[in-house]
Amino acid sequence: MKTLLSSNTVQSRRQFVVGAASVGSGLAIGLELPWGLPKLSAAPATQQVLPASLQSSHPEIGAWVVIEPDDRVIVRVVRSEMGQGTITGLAQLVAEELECDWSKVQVEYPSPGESLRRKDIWGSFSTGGSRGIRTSEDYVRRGGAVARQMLVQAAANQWSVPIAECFARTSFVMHRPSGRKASFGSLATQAAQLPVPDAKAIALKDPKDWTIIGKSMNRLDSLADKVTGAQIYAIDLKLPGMLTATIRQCPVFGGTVKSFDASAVSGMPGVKKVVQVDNRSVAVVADTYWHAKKAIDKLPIAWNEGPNAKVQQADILKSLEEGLANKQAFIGLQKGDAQSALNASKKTIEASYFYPFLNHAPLEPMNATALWTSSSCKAWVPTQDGQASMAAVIEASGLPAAQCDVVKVNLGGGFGRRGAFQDFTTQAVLVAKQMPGTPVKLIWSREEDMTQGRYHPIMMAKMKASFNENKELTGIQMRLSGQSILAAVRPAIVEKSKGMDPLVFQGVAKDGEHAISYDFPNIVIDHAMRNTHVPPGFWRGVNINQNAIFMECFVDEMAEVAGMDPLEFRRKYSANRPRTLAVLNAVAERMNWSSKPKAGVFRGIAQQFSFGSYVAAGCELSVTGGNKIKIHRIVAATDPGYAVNPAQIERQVSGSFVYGLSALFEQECTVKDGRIVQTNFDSFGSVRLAQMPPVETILLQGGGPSWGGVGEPTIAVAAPAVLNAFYQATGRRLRTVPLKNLGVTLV
Amino acid sequence: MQRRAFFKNAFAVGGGLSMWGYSGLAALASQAGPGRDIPQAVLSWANGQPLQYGRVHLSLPPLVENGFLVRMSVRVESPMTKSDHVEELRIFSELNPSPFIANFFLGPQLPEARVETRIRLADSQAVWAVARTNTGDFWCSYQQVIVTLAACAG
Repeated sequence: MKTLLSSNTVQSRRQFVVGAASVGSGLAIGLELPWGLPKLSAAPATQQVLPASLQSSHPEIGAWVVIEPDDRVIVRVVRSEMGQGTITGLAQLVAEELECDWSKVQVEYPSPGESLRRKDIWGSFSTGGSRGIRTSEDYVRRGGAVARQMLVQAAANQWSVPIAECFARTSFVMHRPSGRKASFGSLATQAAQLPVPDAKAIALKDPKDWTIIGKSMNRLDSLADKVTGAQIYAIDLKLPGMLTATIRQCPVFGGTVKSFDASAVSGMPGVKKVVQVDNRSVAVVADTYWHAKKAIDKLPIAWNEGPNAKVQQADILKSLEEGLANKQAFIGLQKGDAQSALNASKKTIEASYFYPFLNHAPLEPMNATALWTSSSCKAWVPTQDGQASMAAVIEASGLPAAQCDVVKVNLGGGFGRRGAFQDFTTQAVLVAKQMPGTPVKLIWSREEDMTQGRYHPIMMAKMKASFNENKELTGIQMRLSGQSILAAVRPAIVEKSKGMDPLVFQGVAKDGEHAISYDFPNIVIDHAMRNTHVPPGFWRGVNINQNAIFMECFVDEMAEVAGMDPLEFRRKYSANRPRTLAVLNAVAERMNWSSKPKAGVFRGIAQQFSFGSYVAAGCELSVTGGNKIKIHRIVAATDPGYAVNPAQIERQVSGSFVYGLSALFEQECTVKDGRIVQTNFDSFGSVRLAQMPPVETILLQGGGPSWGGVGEPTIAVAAPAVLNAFYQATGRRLRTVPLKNLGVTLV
Repeated sequence: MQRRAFFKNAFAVGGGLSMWGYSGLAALASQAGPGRDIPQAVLSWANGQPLQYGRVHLSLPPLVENGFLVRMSVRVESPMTKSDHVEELRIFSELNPSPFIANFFLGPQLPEARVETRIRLADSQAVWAVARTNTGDFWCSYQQVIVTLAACAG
């Protein structure tokens, strides 16, 4: 058996070595250390020949950097890598200040338990909200700077020279007057013993002096393993003696288990135990997933489905439609008097839009592995937030925090499902708790994953605009009606906002990192909160997905009435917003917007400010038969302020369009009898390789005090660009997502 | 700064061994010490009486997933006799929409001053437990809790 874990700490490596010596061949969990670190085989521990570097001490220089005697630099990263490249970008930030040789850099995940023991030393593990780089750039750079200073101090001490005469470059400390130099590896042990200087007192490098940040360094995680299938994801994890469980949760949200008949399946092949997990789910533990799955399919379970079983999709739509017209709503943005402008106008337009529930549907369904004993609990979790997983383990295990830990394992997609919601981790521990001493891997079936999600909220919008006799825009009303995520998952924020969910206005908010990027005269944007029994969640991009369609498609509708080119209309109302103009202009220039496209080809454009980044996208498409769209190209400009790894950003932008276009064309979750109808990819599709247009990314770096995000902002702008281009091609406004419901397909 | 200064003074004045009792110093050593601003709600309740740090043992998980249901137990060192007992125990939040989490009324009929319950926390913050004795003394403690969901939506 060969097992690979993608995370381990220096401490736990030590512990492993110590444990291997003392426990002998006890629990011989094989480890392969992350990303190029020496690998331990799964042989019994007593037979292992450990690499010398693992048997030595590991000089920790500050909290973020370990330097081995052979000059390898190990950078700690606590955000989760799930393909977005965050570990590489974060390591670049540390390495820049450390002044190390990039070719010597490796990364590792400290464990959440270790972080807790060290008083939250590495800060937030949360990998969401496009925050990985932008909210930690300062302190991780300072982590590198601290380590550099300690290494330089160690050299100065060794040479008995003033520290001011020494400096660090490419993993060496130099003494300017004498020309002496010493490698980081040779200084590491002494440096590690020095007091850690005050990180805030160290001046960070000026961006113009960066040599590692801003370069398209190769990824530190193994692309080869991903391509060849060698990479082990959490679902592939194998531990000695491990059993596999699968779960069935009440298909109606809010329902509970009434009864189940374990005896009906307990004699089936491989079945070890049938357990009630909590009040709404039952699991079968077996020797293999297949045996567990066969048994749970046969397990008679009676549910108390509760009143939600009566809820139909039509009921939800009716509730949202009522919200579009209701007088009461939470005002997110108000400037001037839009109602009076509308009342006074002889020319008004109105349009209603719809955006559905969506599931994250990562390729790897929810899963987690746990080992519980009366004195400890450890879980191996594909997680976007190691600390949230740790919190779930502490709570579910019933054990003190010091006796719990979480190992972060590669995740096969996250998109917001595996961060704030740790239901699968809790369940794995609750199952393992009923199998003391035996590691249990809980795997959800695809059907469970599709029907037990935390769904992108359902939303409608009614847009109104008024114009004067000169066709000039005089007022806009935007009424959102639909579900609030925060009311369900962070009610305290809603309460603080007097009942309003401020997140619902992402991309059209009055201020902040999701502020509207137009200066329209007389505008009101409000929200009629219409919550459903379907649990909502943060789906990549969150509320910018629908708000970009609502606003950016309607901007094109307004431009038409105003008799203006859509780009010119946008420029007019963002004239005082240079960075918005810059991304719009960059796209327009690359597309040669002012020239006529080839015959049969039509263009659309859209822009938005979200997660602190300015983004715009343009597309060129053609339509055949009135409903078959071929997208020829997408041009996207993004300005996150600073670009740490340009190549990685380009890949992120392309990837975001796969996700965004899949939602636009194919995806919708609907409700029947209180449960989600779509159970697999046959009814919840995705854009395929052949459909995916080429994406050209233009990267702007506007600088400034705040850094913007990359993972989410662009996801929202491809869809309105496509819809706007479709109108140019056909004269038909598509205002309901997904387009498959309108008979429109991507070819 | 004023509140912090007040706390330091209280600590200095009350820091004599006799004031802390046999395990007061141990309690101090095991918990984060003063040095944190006392929430206004706590100060208001104490109404000018000095707050002493110690005797109150507050137990909360250091990490919670979403703060919807957080197990909490509080024990106050007190003989709980007629002449020396805890009369009231209040739990305060630094960042919940309401700073008042719970009030417990205790008395010498109880063998020990100990409560357990579940609370909600809106955000990462310190939770404060403050005990008032029959002699009018105020003892307090706090514990920091990280609410991980805060990082996702904040």
